[in-house]
Amino acid sequence: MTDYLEIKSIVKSFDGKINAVDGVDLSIAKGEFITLLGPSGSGKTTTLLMVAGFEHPTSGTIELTGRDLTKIPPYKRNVGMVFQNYALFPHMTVEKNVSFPLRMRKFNRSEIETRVRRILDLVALTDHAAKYPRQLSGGQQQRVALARGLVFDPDVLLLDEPLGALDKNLREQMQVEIKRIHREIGITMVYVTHDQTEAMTMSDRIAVFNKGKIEQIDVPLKVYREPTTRFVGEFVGDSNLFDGLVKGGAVDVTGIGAIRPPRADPKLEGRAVDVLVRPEWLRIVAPNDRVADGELTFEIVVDDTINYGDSILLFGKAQQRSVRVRAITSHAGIFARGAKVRVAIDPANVFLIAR
Amino acid sequence: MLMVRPQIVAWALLAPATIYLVVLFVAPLVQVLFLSFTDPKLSANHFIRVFSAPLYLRTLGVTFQAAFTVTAACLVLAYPLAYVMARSKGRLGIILLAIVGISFWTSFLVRTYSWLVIFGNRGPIAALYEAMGWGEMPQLLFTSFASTLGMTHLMLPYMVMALYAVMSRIEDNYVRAAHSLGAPPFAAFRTVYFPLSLPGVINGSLLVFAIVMGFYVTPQLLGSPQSRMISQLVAEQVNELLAWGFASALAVVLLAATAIVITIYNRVAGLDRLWGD
Repeated sequence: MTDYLEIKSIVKSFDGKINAVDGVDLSIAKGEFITLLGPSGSGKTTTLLMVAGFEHPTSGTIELTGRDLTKIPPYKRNVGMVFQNYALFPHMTVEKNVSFPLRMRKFNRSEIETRVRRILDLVALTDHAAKYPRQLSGGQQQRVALARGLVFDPDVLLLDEPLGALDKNLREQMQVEIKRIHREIGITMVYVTHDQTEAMTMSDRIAVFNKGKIEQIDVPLKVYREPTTRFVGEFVGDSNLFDGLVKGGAVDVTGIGAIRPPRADPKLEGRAVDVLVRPEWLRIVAPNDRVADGELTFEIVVDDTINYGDSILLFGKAQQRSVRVRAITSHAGIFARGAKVRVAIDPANVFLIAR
Repeated sequence: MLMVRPQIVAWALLAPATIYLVVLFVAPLVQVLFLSFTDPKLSANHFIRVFSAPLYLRTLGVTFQAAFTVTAACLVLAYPLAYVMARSKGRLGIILLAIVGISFWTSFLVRTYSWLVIFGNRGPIAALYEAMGWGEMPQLLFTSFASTLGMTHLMLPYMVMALYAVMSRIEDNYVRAAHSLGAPPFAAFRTVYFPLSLPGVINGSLLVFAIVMGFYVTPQLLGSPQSRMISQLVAEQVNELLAWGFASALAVVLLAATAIVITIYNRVAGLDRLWGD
């Protein structure tokens, strides 16, 4: 992977005391779709704004294809940005909004026309070129913002929670749309969100932010299945985190029992760990089901269930410890409050997080 | 809950203001219009006189000129101030807002009198001339310069407030978006910020223009007796000559002239034209 956009140990402090961004390193490959994921105040947006040039790092550098961006003003960076509320210019038509970056770059008229036509075609807004932003729906405005951010062939497109203002269905549509555009144009995208589902579905890689630092950078599935910190395990996806102690290659899960994960890191031997078991990694064992060798089974008492239609989420307790189980069934009725349910964990589905 | 039809409630709520305006504003206005054609006898003579005598046309011209000058001066002075107020995040914006607010709430008369002191024979400017040995200070009081300056000072907070109201609602992200799209600071201002602030420019200009057209106190106290504004003429006709009919005609002309200018301005710079439908 060649480094295209390189963020080198950047720190940003607004008040000189607390670091909003506290030593972030990130190298992004050309054409990559990377998501900065984290709760509000975790530094992900500040990092994005520093790449855009709207905030200046207290220390550290940002390089794009080897060129140091840190002292270059935003309007000379050739970095596109899609803002949270789109920031479409209300006094300009769709066409004027989209041609704005080209007019600023003094493109000639025919070039502007060609490019605007091509990009409006890409986002399927050709028929709306003469309209003003407020005559468009939220999804259409979003597409204008994308078109405007892409039309001048920026080196990178930054997206700051671009789907935050849309309702759920539209959000999913736009996720697909943004991915399609990413695929067709092959542009490098840096996407900021606090929505872990969005991050999971769209990204090539996810950088999970917490308290100004990156806790983990990896492909979505890896972040989900093998979080390196407890925070990542809790923030990304639904989780059960049990206390455990590694002894002789097996982990003793407090109050539940021992299990031997096949890929346990030898470095964890003798140490206390967080044992991550995703709710869907737990299997409900019917009375006459067989339990495989090495599987750990235990009993939980049901507190509550949520029926999602395609699956149910079961909240229960095993030895006073909360356990969540997600099962693909719609027979929530079987799991009435107070019912005792046997569940099994496959050792391959246990991930140990060092403390 | 009482079952009352919504329309009745609406009318009941509108009634006090409506009655107040009809009795104390519309009725007197109609009376002025009536007087301008009937006092002392039914004719259009007053209007013919206004438009045929050079004195009155000149007064009308002076009034228009003062209104244009003050509006333009206010705009030039207020725009940067309102811009800083709206865009500064910290204490500066609040301090400036407070200063403008205090000025806004201080009476016209007090502020006009303060100019009398400043420009007076024993005021600070006279003292400066004396201290520096520049000799006799130029005549400042009772000139159109003093009157224009005074009116600009009085109207400045109105313009600032009108601009600030609009500018404070222009999101930073618009300007940021312009930068990210390749617009250097001045281009971003010219193509994005300024057009978005235009509603404030229009509101402020209309407000200041309309008020200055009818200004009385300041030109009376600070201005030159040779170039009076139309409201001074109206007052003179009423107070000294008891010529109610002619005074009314002048007032009607003032009202009509103001209305015409505002209409034209709105046509040219109307918001509907600026921002699409």
